[in-house]
Amino acid sequence: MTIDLKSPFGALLLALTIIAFCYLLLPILVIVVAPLGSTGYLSFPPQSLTLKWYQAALNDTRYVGSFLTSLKVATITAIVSTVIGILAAHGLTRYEFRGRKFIEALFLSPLILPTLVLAVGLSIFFSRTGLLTGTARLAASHVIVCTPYVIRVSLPVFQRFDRTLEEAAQNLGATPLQSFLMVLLPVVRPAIIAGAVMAFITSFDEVVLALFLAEPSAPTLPVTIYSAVQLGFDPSVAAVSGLLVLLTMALMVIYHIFGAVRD
Amino acid sequence: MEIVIENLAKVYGNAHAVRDFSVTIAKGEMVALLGPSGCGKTTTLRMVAGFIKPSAGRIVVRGRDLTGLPPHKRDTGLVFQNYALFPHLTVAENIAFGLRRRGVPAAERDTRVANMIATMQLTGLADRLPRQLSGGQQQRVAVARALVINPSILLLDEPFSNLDAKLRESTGLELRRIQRELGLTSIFVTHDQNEAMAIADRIAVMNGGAVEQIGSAVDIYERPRTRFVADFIGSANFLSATVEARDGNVVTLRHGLGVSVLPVEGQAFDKGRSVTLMVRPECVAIHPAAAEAGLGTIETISYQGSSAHIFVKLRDGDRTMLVERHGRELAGLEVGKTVDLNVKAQDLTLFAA
Repeated sequence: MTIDLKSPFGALLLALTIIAFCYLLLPILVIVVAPLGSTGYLSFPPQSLTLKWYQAALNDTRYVGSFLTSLKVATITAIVSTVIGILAAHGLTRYEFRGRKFIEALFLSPLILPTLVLAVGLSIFFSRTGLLTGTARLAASHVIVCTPYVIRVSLPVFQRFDRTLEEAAQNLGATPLQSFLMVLLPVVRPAIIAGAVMAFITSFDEVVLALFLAEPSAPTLPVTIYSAVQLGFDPSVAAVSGLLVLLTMALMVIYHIFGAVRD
Repeated sequence: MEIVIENLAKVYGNAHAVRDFSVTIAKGEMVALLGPSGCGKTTTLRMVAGFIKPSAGRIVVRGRDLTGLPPHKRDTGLVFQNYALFPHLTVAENIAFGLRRRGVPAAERDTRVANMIATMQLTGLADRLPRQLSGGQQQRVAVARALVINPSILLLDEPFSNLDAKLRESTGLELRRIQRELGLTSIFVTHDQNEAMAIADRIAVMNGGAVEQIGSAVDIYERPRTRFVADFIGSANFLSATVEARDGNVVTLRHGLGVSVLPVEGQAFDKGRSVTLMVRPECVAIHPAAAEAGLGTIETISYQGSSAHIFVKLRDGDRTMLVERHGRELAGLEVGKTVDLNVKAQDLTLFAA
């Protein structure tokens, strides 16, 4: 369907679209631009430009330390949940078995379970059992939340995968494992990368589980920002958020270069 | 014998996809499995390739029983209907895939891939991805990929069905030439009788999971053993007839076009029995006749250039006969004209019932 943007209805549609995009994107612009102001409080538009707040954020050991913690947690989470998610998607699309639909629903269920409930449950579970500590504990919790995202992103791609490709590989002498590694994985690579990026961003951004489960001595970046905001809104917090926006954008660029489906 | 398939069967629940399929194939022979969709031809091919486990029977290639082996140990080259080219690999990498799996040294691999690219007229396309190729080129890559491993048997699943009509015949004959040159034993599945007749040494006509007849194209066209084969291969006119007299192995039959005398064997053709006769459209002679004397009237003439199909409605009963004439021999034949039809006894095929 094409709409003539010069018609009255088209003009209205165009205006609404612009408003919607402004509503979605302007706060992000504010977050990136506001810390460029030299005042000791946040103001928009910024008065006389300076990089000192960005500099302050980068020199603050609290932010740098918690950034590294978040990076570690998000990387472990992305790798583990991608492996689990890909194998689950493969199993769910390849094999017919009793309860397949149920398991599919189960894998997707943490999406509808409030994170707060999960966080309380997991902190009780981990303190009772003493299983896993520190970063591993938080990463394990994030895997629970992130794996369904990976499954959700990769399931349709696995469903569309042409199985005769694997048959062709086996006909040419590849074992089932070889055909999985050399034909299936490369063909569904966009889904794998999309799932991994999704898991990484979700984990990096996650604050509820991190509040409950991170070591108090090594909080993640969202937790540090959260506590900083509670103490007082100085522009370096906004600068950290601005840097996060840039990091996310970098990840999206990576995703579009390596993960986009090309036809 | 190069390939022996014995009593092969596949049962799903209580549906017989393939029943009691047996054939022996000589080295260098090309056998077509021909039949309508759901006749079991593809299931049979997939059992040979190892993708479907047979319920019963054996597949022996060059004296080696393949029946229990997984696909990757069978050494069959399969050309898929949709080609199944690896989308992330170039033409050369697609062709090299099987050689890599076999651990062929790099130098020999490169030579064999290059030779195959030349043989299949893919020169200059080695570094293209499959999606950058035309349908015909993709088909040739699929064949090249299957041939380069020197398979003990070449399997083709409707290899030409995705090509346009003009390309189909030339591609088929080209494939046949290469298959002959390499002395490859081959089984190919098709629902297209022209394809099967043009290319295969022998054709197995399948219906409802069972083989109706195996023979050369001439055999199955001129001497169909069942009504299904007669009907499925080419066009056929069926006439009901009654046995008027039987003298030893010779019967006199009365049918819509007159009386014919045919040699027979068997009990089914005793005096008084109803039987069916089949005659090919090109074997029916047609002449303009006087309005009162003719056997029928021309209903439609479908002119096709080299030939014309004439539909004649017989005066007794509602049967319509299809007559094929040379496109230039239509003098005196027009829609609505009364005509006479004649058949020679030697052109009639007799079926009990």
